[in-house]
Amino acid sequence: MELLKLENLVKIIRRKKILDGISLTVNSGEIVGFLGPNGAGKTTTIKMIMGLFTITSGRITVCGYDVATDFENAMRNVGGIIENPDLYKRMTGRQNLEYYASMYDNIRKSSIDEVVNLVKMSQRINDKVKSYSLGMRQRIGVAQALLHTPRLLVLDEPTNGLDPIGIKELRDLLKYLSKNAGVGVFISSHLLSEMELICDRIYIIDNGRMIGEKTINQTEDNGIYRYTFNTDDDEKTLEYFKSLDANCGRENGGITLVMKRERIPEIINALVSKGIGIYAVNQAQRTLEQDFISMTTGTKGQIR
Amino acid sequence: MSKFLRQIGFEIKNILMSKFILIAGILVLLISVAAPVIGALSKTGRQDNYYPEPVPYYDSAAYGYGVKMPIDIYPGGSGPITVDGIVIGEMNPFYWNLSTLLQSKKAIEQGNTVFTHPESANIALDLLDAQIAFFMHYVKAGITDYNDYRIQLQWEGGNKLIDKFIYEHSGTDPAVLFEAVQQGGFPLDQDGFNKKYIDITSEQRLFALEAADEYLAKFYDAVDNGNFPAYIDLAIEQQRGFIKNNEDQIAMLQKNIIDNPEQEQYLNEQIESLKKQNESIEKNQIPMLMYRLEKNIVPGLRIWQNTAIADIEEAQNWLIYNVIYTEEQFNEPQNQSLKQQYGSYARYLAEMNAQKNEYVNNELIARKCLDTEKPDMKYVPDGARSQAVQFLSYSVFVALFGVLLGGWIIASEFQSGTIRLLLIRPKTRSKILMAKFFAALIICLLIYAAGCCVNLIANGIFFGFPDYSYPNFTVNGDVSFFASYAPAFLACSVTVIFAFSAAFMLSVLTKNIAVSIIIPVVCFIGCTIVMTYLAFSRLMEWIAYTPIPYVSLYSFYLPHSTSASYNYVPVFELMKRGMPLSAEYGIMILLVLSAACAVVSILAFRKKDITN
Repeated sequence: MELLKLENLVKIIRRKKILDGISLTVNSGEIVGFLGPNGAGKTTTIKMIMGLFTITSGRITVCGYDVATDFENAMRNVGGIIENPDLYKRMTGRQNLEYYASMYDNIRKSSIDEVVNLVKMSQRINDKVKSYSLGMRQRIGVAQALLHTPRLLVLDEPTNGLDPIGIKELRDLLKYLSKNAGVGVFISSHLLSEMELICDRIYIIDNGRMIGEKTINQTEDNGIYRYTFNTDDDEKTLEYFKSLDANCGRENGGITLVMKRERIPEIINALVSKGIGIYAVNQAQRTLEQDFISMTTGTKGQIR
Repeated sequence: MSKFLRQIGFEIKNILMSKFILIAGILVLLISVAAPVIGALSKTGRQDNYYPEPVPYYDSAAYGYGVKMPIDIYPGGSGPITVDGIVIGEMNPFYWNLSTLLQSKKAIEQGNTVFTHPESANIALDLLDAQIAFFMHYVKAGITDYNDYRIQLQWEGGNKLIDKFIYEHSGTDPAVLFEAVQQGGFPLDQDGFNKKYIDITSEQRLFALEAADEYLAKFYDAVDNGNFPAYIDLAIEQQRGFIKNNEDQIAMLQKNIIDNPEQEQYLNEQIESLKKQNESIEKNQIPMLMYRLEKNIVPGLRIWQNTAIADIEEAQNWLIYNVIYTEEQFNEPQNQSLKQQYGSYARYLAEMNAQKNEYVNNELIARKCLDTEKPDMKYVPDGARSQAVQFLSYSVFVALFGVLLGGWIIASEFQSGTIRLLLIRPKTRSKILMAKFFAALIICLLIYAAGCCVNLIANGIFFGFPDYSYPNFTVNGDVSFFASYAPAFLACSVTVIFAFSAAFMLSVLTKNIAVSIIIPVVCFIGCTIVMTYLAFSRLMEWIAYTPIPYVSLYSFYLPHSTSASYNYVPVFELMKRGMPLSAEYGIMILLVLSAACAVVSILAFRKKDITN
């Protein structure tokens, strides 16, 4: 089911159009990424979802509740991390969580303990926040988003400040939640490699407009993939592939060919018989980085 | 609703975890204990300023009876003197009298004073001895306080002593006698001397001698034995003497009118003045002496009854001597300064009437207190009640704390970024804002209430609990102290509410802690300055409709009077001058503004983009 729906979102700040008609959806069990260059409007979008920014026009629906007209019901179902989570330094981690828990209905004490265990903060949870490192605060940030077991998670740069172990733990947690609990996750991040590992789908935004939607982890189980051949004579290899009338090209520092997996040995033999030396044959996918850069520079992307 | 209350509870806990706020709150609370302690320690210092007539006085014949003239106390002297084996230091009230007399004696004995009639020398010495013995009564009675009520008897007593001396020496040559008595400070000239002492029948002489003896007997009884009724007798007799003197003078003046008709108006004014004096003595002074006798209130003592009587006397004097001009007289050129001061006759009349009412009320209240023997709060400035009411100014300190808390509570969330995690919860912004608003307001009001309670108890401990049992006297009837304190207590809390609301609103609008605190504090100081210095100009009438006079609402509940300078309260002075100030209006306008601040806060907060 549709957990998050943005329809034609427009945001104007001081007569400048920050967002110009953004639309997207997140379904349950999905991890959806949100990518864009600096200043594209990612954080603005996320803030509008969480009620921190007002909506100039358009609609945001969370689990069926309109954020503008039914704010309390909408927020009950979503947990968020917006940039660095600023907690009350004078209180302990637990006291912060209890304070936020008080604004929901019926969060039992045991729920708080569970969430603390989940983010692996049980040892330091009773220390004052001002003694926490950045990574610890980030974990509490994740904890406060999960306190009320929301059906939708909205995360803005959630891996900020986490060490590689922390990043992996978060990734595993998000995957677990989405696959096993049907939680929908909406992440915006700069870390393309991370996004590739986590997301099922990615929206790309630039200059306040949606410029692309990409599905990651396409299960191309028709058995046809794109392969990259690294040879000592790329010209001859390309010529030969062209003669096969196949989908080929020069990419990734080699020559690519789209074909069935079973035919690899056959092609290799053909190349060898032509006297072409083969260094490597790799199953190639266009990386996200390539797509990202080509899309955004394609729209005259300037760093803002 | 219960959810909202629960939310407020959490907000209170959140606020109290801030050490900064906690310490500030505790410091403010400690003021309620510090104030009585400081008050108790400075008590004795204050008493010297408080009681009326700190300077000894006497009724002056020269300036009109009923006018108190201070006795000059000269510093320095030529060292202590000894009389009859008693050492008299320079601070003794009679040091100067006695040392002058001793010097005169010495001058005669050493032949430095020249007499036309040599026999006068011995007679003079006798008189001086008699006068020394006279003053020694005071010294031997152990009277060392200038305020002792018996001291003023010395003037008439001394006269009577001279009378007695002269009458007893009736066989002596008048010229000799006259020269001799000059040494003793004799007031009359030769003609007057003859008229009073020489040209009289022996019956008149006997009669006068008896009168003098009788007077001196009472005098010595009063001075030696502290016989208060004897003193009162003499005091009343003295007043009757004044009446007689005035009547003689009136007669003389009336004769002058016939001789000098061109001076009629001037002389008539003098006659009027004398008649008023007599009226005052007859109506006020003499009955007061009898009242003192009845209630055994000894003058000069530092007791509240004497302050009450001073209030009555001041009211009586004003009511008799003060002239309220008619409009015609007001407009006369010689009264130009009045016109400048008051602006219009209507205002002059209003103020005169207001003053009159105040004096009438003061007298009524003073009499009630004396009759029931229970002092009103204003007569016991070091009593628990007085201190409690003065302590209402504590509301200003709590208001400053309220500014601190109000300015901090929202702006700190913005400045530290915690606002973001706060607003993503399933609570509308209005609810979140109002939960914080009421949580902080409750803390401020609790500090105020707790402080006042602690203060009431501490006052009882340091200044005595019995004072609380005396009622507050008003013209319409007596109210128990707590019944009159409670409304004042509630009213002053409005100051706290308003200060907090204003700072809270600024906190939401500016998102800056420092600005939200400094602006209200500066405004408060500005209001105080305006009320202390500028409000007295005629052009500032309009401020009565602004909140400016009401930010320090406690001043409307302070005990105030015009008679005692220590009870000067500016707002009442302004009200007497016609400024339409009223505490009720102040309360209303402050509450309305507080609600407006809350509404503005909500409206501004709801539509804000959280950018930090």
